[in-house]
Amino acid sequence: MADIDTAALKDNFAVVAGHGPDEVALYFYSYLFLRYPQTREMFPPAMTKQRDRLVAALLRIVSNVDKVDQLVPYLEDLGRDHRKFGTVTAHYPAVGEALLTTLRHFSGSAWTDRLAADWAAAYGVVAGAMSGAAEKVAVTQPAYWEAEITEVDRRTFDIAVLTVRTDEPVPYLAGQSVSVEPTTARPREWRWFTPANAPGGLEIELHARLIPGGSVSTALVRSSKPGDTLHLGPPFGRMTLEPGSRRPLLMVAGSTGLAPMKAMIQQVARDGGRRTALYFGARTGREVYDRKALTALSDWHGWLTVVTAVSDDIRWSGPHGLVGEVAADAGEWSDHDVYVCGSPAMVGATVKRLLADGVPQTQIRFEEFGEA
Amino acid sequence: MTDATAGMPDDITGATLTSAAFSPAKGFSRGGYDAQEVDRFLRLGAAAVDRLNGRLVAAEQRLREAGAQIQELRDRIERDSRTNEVQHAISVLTTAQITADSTVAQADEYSARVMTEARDLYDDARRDAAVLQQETEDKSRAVYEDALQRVADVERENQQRLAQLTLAAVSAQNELDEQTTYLRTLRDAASIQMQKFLEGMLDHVAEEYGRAHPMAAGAAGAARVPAAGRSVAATPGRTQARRSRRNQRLPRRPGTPSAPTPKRRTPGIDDVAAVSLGPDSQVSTQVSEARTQNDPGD
Repeated sequence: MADIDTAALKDNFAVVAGHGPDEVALYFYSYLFLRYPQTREMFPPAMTKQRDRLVAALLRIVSNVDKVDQLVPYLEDLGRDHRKFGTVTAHYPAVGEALLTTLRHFSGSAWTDRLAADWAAAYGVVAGAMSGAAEKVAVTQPAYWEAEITEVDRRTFDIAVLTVRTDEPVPYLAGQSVSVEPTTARPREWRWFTPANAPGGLEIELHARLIPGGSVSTALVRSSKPGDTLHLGPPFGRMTLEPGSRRPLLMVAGSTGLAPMKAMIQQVARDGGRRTALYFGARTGREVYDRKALTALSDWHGWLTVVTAVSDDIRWSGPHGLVGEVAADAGEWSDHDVYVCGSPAMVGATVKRLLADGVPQTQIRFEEFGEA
Repeated sequence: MTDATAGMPDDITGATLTSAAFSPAKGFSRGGYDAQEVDRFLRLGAAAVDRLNGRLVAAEQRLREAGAQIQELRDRIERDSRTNEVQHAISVLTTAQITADSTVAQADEYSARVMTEARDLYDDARRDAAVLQQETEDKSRAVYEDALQRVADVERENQQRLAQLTLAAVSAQNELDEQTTYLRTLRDAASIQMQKFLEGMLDHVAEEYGRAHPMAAGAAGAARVPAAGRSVAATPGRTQARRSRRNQRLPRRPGTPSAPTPKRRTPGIDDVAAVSLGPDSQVSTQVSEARTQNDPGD
């Protein structure tokens, strides 16, 4: 984007966003659906979350518009992921037109030909990266995988462990997530879930925790049943085992943040085993929903230590407290590869504490779950 | 006809040039026009053409400007009308979307509220249950430990009592044994004394009877020895019966130190024995024999 005035784009976007991010996104989608009505069916009836996503993506793109090396991998992932919505290369000009019209609309008198040209050029780069990556992967990969639920194990009233089966293996890496669309209960709504087993097989274990008001999580936990169909989107996320690293591992998981850790532990076992400490945290003893598997894992693998900490249960006989603090108090982790997954609050507090304890930032990888 | 000597009119036309009339050439040359007149006409004509061209360019410029203005106005009108339609449509779509979002959000919010309330209830119930369970466990542990303590106390007390009772029993047994031994001795002595007394009586009767009938007295003296042997052989049943009767007559608590002395209880027999018996050594020997026969390990 050498000949694009990126500073001007950032300034202009700030002006536009000043009208209210949701207002801008509403205008964008309304224009898109008005001019290209066929695109409407690619989106769910309720668009609130979709608008949040658009604004977040735009913000990320605009913030990094002058850092192409960081932006391009993100855009390529985004492009590959958009295939599951039915997005094809032909849709990109329509979106570009809607975007430029929206920017012009909210820029008012600040809109200039130069800005229009710069935005058009920048969008060309974005669309090129996205559609290029999508076209490239389309040769070898479907837009999504169809999966049938084979087992629903409701472990607590708000946590379920689902086993699903695909016709061909989904090419994720241990620790990565896939987006899930409950095709009957919540069509066209996708949320991230992390496989709890290492890749390669046809079965995938998903851990779903019900988020109050969360449509997809509610559907999966409360109303899914064997035989239901899910769509699984392409894998996403960079919380994976670092290739070639022989450092010991510290894994800190809160609630269903356990899923990626289980997958990575399986992967470590396949790779020959490595000293690993898994700290699992839950609020109550009942919410230690995968106790049997945790016991089995630590029994099978001599190199694995499992500690379960509970924060709000007077009846719990093991360690009490927030799992991040229990883990940090328990040892010296600065020579470990550290993985953290859980609620945003849990991840934030744990990462902060570990950094303060001297764990290098480059050795910490984390993923937040929540609204997904 | 244009008079070439006159000035060039501003509204010059083609006819102005073609109808120009010049004076005949003067001097020796024949024919032609006055050169000065022609030159002057051409100069005036050229200037007039330049003027006209200038006006034409200006007019064309004005025309272009006007055309542009017209186009701009047309564009603006068209754009305005289109923009208004688009804006209107966008506004309608936006409103519809907001309504849909709001409806879904309300449903989601309701669902979230219900779930949150359910979770709060669940949490409260769980905490209450945990507290209750803990309390119950604490209480039952306390009760259990208390019971254990009591059991230990009772056992200790029992053992102490048992020890006391054992001591008392041993002492009572000892006393009983002593009394038993005394009573056996007394019984046997009494039995022998009684036998001696009866024998004495029999001798006396025989003696008296002999004085009356000497023949019968001889027969009675011969029958006396076997009768004494029978009395010894028949001793067990009678001895026990006597002892039982004596016990009934003389109930005594074990260990009572001030037990009545045998003399006081059986004065008649003792008196008789004292009269009829021989030396003590003889009695002792017979008591020892009687005990051996009647109470083997009683």
